[in-house]
Amino acid sequence: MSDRSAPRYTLFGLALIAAVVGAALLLARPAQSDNASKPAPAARPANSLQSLAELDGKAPSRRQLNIQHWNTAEGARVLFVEARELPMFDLRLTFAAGSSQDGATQGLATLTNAMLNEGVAGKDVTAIAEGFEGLGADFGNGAYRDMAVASLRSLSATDKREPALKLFTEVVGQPTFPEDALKRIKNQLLAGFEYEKQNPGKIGGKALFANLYGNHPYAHPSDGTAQSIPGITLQQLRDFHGKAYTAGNAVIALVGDLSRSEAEAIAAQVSAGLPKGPALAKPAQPAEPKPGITHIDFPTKQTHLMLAELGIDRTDPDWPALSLGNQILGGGAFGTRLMSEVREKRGLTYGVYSAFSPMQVRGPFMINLQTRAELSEATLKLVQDILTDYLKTGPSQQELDDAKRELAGSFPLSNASNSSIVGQLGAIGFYNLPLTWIEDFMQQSQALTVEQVKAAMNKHLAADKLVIVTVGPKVAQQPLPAPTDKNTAQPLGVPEH
Amino acid sequence: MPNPPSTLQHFTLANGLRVYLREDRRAPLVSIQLWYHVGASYEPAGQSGLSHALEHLMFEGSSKLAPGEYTSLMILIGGEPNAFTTVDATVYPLTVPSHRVEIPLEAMADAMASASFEEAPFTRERDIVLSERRKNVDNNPLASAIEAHEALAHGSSPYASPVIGHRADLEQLTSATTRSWKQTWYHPNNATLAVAGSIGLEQLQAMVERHFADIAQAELPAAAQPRQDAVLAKRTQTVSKPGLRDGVLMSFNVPSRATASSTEQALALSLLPDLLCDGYGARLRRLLINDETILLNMSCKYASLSRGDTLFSIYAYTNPSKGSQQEAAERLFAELGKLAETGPTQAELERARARLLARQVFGRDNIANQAAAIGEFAVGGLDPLLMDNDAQGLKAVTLEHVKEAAAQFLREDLQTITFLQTEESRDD
Repeated sequence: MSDRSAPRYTLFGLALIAAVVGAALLLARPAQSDNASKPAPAARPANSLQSLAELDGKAPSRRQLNIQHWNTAEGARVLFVEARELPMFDLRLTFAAGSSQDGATQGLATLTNAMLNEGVAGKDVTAIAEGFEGLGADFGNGAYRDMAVASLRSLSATDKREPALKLFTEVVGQPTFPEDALKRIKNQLLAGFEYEKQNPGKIGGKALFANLYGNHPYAHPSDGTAQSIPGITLQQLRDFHGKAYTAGNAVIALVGDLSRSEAEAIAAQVSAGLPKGPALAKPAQPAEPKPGITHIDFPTKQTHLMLAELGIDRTDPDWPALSLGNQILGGGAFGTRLMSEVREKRGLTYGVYSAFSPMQVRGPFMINLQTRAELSEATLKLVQDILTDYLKTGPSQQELDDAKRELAGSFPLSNASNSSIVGQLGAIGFYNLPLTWIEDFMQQSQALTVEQVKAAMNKHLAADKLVIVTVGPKVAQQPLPAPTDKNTAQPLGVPEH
Repeated sequence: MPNPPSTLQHFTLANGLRVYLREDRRAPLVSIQLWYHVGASYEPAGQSGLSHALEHLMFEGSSKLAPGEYTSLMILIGGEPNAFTTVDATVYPLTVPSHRVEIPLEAMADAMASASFEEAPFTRERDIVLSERRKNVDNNPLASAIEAHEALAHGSSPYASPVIGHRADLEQLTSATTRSWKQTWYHPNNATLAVAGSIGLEQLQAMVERHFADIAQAELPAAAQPRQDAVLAKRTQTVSKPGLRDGVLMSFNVPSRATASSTEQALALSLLPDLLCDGYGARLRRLLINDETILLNMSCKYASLSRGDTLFSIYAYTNPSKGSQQEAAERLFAELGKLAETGPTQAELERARARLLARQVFGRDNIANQAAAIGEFAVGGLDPLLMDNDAQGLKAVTLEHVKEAAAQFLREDLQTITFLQTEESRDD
């Protein structure tokens, strides 16, 4: 459901910030699913929750979104949701200007995006920052593989909104790309590459995408390489901006404390400030990769295991089935097959997750985990066996029913806040999904059968097609410990809904 | 300000459970967070990581719930039954559809009253915590450096102890100790229930009373407020690790909201991250990253909502081509000295204040954030009912307040510096 795009470009700031806020330790604890095939009546307490009796069959109600849409005179697609409860608004511009548009110049899309707020006529980076920050407004930008984003979150009071929008329009539409800023950002990127050489997760991720995508534009890292970045010129940035940040290549998503006419005026203002031009073509579909394992020797405390195959594009009709199928395999934080077998029964890892990342063309399906080096080969085999078994037998009826309930229960979150709504609108606009997409996805998911999920998973995945990268030390391998018996509760008898 | 937040509503049960509600009717969801007032800073020496280990074992069964049933039930009704531990709290948050609020409330109450666990899950979860430590600390050079830095900066304060626990302590931890930790601290009079979302007070109160009112309160051990060492001097160390970037971690021992001599003092300190580091208009970022390029990136942190004395910290990656980590630290400290001497400009203060005030509005976009803000106030030793006065309080902070706070706390004797370098460069 969530807008899963390829890893986000950052000027290596996130690692530092994540460590700062990482003082709170999440449990990220798996569930022990009430799998009917393994009853353990002894573990069942005599009582049960009284409130379960109150559970009726009703699916949770959810906020009804009234998505309004139109095109600007210059051809930008606009999606708007009016939300008057909080005195603020979110504006997000999404361009088909990610690194898959780099051409031969790897890192061009990222550098162009990072340079947007470095200069406009009469203002340098500091003056731009002071302009937004003095209003309490947040400007955000980022480049991914498919898309580049520029966003604004501001208070909606006119004296805050109008100057923030004026500055935002200049930053996105008429950046001046100052030379000294380019030099500084290149240096920051290059310093980052140096340190990435010592980051096993980064090393593994780059190798995985290279092996999975070969010569396809998704293969190279979004922020380019130590070889490609130094030679990028101001003229290349200007040319890229002129063709990729056009109104015709833009989706404008707006949510917040605005009337329709205010939203129209904002969209018109932003769109008119952009270069004129059409949408860019999406990349070709990638070719099937060669399966196999690449091991990268690296002195880490734990071994990184990454397994991948080509998945689907965002408009694939199998997306609801694959999403639900993956949720059972390893998509949720809790109670998935992978978490249950690898963490819960054997304590081999803190977390193991699988995900499809549908993109403009076939994005990856990936499984990620870290485990102790001496158990890494046996753990890898275990993960492959879990996938093989899952593809062979498909989900159980109970797993599918549970997954549907979970989806229905968590669905209201997808449009509970302005920030989640603006993300949905951006994805709907960018990937050309119908306005009813959120509801359609839900209805299609709820109608799926075990056979349909199994068939979809097998249509898109095969256990012998995995492209695998491991990063860790070479040490003598040990066999896996015997699994402990999972404490398993009896089926709960929760009413259907 | 238009559309002020709905008034924070509050009641306390006879057994001491404090309950707060912020109504937000935008979506049919409710965030329910049970905050126990116990975390890493409550742990005795040699038992670090105890609160977090217990957090991992709270869903292994209770009088009405089979092992794992809490987790599977909450997933089934649409919640994500995660939990987290900090220096001051152990927290069980859930966001669920409005018409299902009673299920987590009953389950949380049952766990408070009767959760227990067997030996096998204890051993398994201890292995998982050790794996979590390897992944998040041992395998992360910056996180290990920050752990060493906070230990040095906090000295003999209990805040010196890492939330996840030292490896040796975790290996020694027993199930009996972990059980008795729950017996000691998991009582209604040591918990705050923070709720935000689409529910009314009467309905909430009826459900909370139905499930929590029969749980007896208990006498709690005295919990000493973490205080900084009485005598402090400048502390420095160097951490070298493969994969660690050149950098500087610089902290100052400062009071929190709970230990500050006045609210103005604490609010002045809380403006420092925005004044100095956050956003390209911030003074140090502008000067040291953009103009002089001696730093490559930086962030600041002030843990204002702590029940004891805390730190104001600046973390920076330095630019090796512009000088050493030591030179960068000196340059940083010289700039802090200027702030202490002349204070911020009016424009700088207005910028930082505008950001903090806007962030208070933006924070209301997410009901889980709203509930968390209540919990943070409560475990930080403050009355959550006062949180809505902060906007007013921030408006009253003057240039003089900031200058005084900088002069009083950004001092060499209160300073701890950790220089970061890659392992190779040690031999250069």
